[in-house]
Amino acid sequence: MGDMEGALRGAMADEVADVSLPAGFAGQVRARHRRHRRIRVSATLASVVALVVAVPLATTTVLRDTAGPPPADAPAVDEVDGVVVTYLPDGLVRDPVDGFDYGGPSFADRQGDGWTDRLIEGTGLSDVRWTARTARWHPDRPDNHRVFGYQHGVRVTVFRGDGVEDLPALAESIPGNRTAEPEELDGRLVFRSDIVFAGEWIDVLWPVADGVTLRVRVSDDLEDELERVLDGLDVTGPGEGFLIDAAQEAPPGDGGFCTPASNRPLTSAGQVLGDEWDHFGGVTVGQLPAGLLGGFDHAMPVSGLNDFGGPTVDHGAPDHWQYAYVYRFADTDEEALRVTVACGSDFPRDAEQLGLFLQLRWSGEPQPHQLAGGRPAYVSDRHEDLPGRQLGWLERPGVALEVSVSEELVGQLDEIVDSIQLREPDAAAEDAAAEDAAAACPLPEVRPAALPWLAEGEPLPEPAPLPFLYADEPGAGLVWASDPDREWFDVPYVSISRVQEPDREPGVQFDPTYEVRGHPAEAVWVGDPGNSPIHVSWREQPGQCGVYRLSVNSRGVAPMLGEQWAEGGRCEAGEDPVDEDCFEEFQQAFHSELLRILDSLAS
Amino acid sequence: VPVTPIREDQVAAHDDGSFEAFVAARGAALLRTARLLCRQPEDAEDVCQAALERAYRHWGRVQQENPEPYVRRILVNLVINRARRAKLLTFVSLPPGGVEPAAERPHHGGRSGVELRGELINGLRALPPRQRAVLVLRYWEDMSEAQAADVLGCSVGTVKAQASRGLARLRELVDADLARRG
Repeated sequence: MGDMEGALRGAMADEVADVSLPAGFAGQVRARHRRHRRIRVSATLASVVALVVAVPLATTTVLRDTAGPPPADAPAVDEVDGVVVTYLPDGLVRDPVDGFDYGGPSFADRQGDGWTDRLIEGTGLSDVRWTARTARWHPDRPDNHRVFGYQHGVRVTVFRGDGVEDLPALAESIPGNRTAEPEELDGRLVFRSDIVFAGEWIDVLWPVADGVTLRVRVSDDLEDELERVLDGLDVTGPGEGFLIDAAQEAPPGDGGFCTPASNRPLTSAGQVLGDEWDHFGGVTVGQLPAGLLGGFDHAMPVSGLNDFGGPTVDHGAPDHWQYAYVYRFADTDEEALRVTVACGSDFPRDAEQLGLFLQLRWSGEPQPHQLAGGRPAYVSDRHEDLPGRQLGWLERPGVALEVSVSEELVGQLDEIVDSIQLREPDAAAEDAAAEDAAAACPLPEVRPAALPWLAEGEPLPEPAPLPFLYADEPGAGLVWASDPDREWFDVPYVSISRVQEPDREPGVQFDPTYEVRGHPAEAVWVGDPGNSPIHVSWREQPGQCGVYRLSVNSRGVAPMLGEQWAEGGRCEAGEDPVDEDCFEEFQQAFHSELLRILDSLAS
Repeated sequence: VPVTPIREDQVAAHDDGSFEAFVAARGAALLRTARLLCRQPEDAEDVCQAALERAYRHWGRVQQENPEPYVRRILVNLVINRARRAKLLTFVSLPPGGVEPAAERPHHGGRSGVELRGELINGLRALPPRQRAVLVLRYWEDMSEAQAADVLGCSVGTVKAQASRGLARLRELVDADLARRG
């Protein structure tokens, strides 16, 4: 592959050889900024006031100069979780935000976020259960900042829990990056790491008391100071470590409130309303600021708390679920409001755990806050992908809500939060809604004569009523599933429904490229092509309920198409047909199948 | 614990002089990266401006550090998020009358016989956005796997897998092109 890498480098160099910065580029960026500010000037003024008021003071501990080994009764220069620190190298300041983390059977398989400098990448389950607090002291230099990851300094982590004296087991329970196997020296576990962006570090772990293990890490430029730092630590107090009650920690994958019954990723708002998701009724934002457009964005399983907040998760069992609602300014398409519901059957369960949860999740320090009615919450300024402010609270055990607003909406945050309600799952109401929807439009009389799983000439099976339709598109439909005895979501299916209006999205170009039964039709992937349905909509009759929609779930149909590819030699046998490498071919084959179904439609 | 008030320059919103200097020094490099990250080359300027504008909003804080990694991270995530949003609801052009056999279909834009490098760039643009980002970060920005993983917010293993698959896909394209040329 080396030649290919070289060729690609050359190709990319050629591609950008003529790219130069247009004149006045920085000025255009500033003008763009001013334009956005003008559009929302009144809200911005309010938010600036709020922002200035809310800027937290940076609390930094400037450590004393220290020379020579620390005496036995050396005074404390700092403290972390009951461990007194009597020596630190000169010129370091403590980060105002300590790191929190925890590990245990349910949480071993997760990606690191840098808080506790995880040891290994990917791990089996461990019986060790622990919590950890990390204090970080760093040189106050521009190139050494929490946002980008400190590359220099000293860190002390206090692990508390059951079995943390077993150093290899503890190490196995701390996922993360490690570049070399640790060595055991005199009862200590010692290892080095050299991670780009994180720099070179030396780590030492050793047990200091029952249920307490310390970890000290120093950057390589401070290696000469390591022993003095180690010698200067003294465990004097019980600390504040907390353990998640084993009784509260449900087995991975155990269902809880708003934990779906299956692991299938959600891709559209309508699917949330389906009976498959009856544990989650959704979220209502009662006071949505004017000028915002949006709603349900995505739901996904996440296997550990550190996955929350990221758009992609590609591993692990779904211990937790996240549902996100995103609203954007209609005029600029900039994100304005994000409501996230984080659900886990086991965590967080109380305000203290929520605080730790938000420490893990937020880059800023969560500050205690009270909601209307006195409910505890946390708030923090937000600086990264959605600069503004974020607020989190525990709606009920295992269900955390987080609301993030852009700077323009900071002044309205409390009002927005007060208006947010979780909709309770109400099977009876959903049934009634489904009946109402069915009553709103008659069943379609159009039937397909070809289905992906039927041989040519094989008779069409009896359809079943479509279990649900999108909430804002009352209609009625029929579904043909390849295996009606199974949940029809998980098997290839084709459905035809009558709805009031076709799928439309502002700003998306309508591209009528096909005729269905003599009518112009529009096709749209709803969700992720390759994983979710494609709809083809056309107006069969004037008036309400005159729009017909044929839906084919590409996920269900894909395996059949994959076999055809393999036989045809276009993809390697056994390759997942929705694999990105084969996606283009899959799309073509899927279109072909779709066209066959469309051509077969008859009254 | 003494309290150190935050310095005024840490909360100052904008320092146009240093922003101009940063864009003058690093803007072209960022624009080149954007050009390679975007599926449509014409989107590069817009996404680059958007990334810089986000950094500009917090320039007082951002300029205290090395702003380039921060802006590059915004840039990569903007491209991926835009692609994801575009994919969420995509109108599909169905070829009327059916689908051409694979062997007859135009190969990546119908540019059969074009230069190898053009073929590679076309192939790069045809990759999924995260896979494309991995290749750009690894082989244009010369980032290590760990650096790319950090920018993308994923594991090193994911970067390895995506890079391997992306290169394999490009290799297929090149081989197919050579085969067609005989």
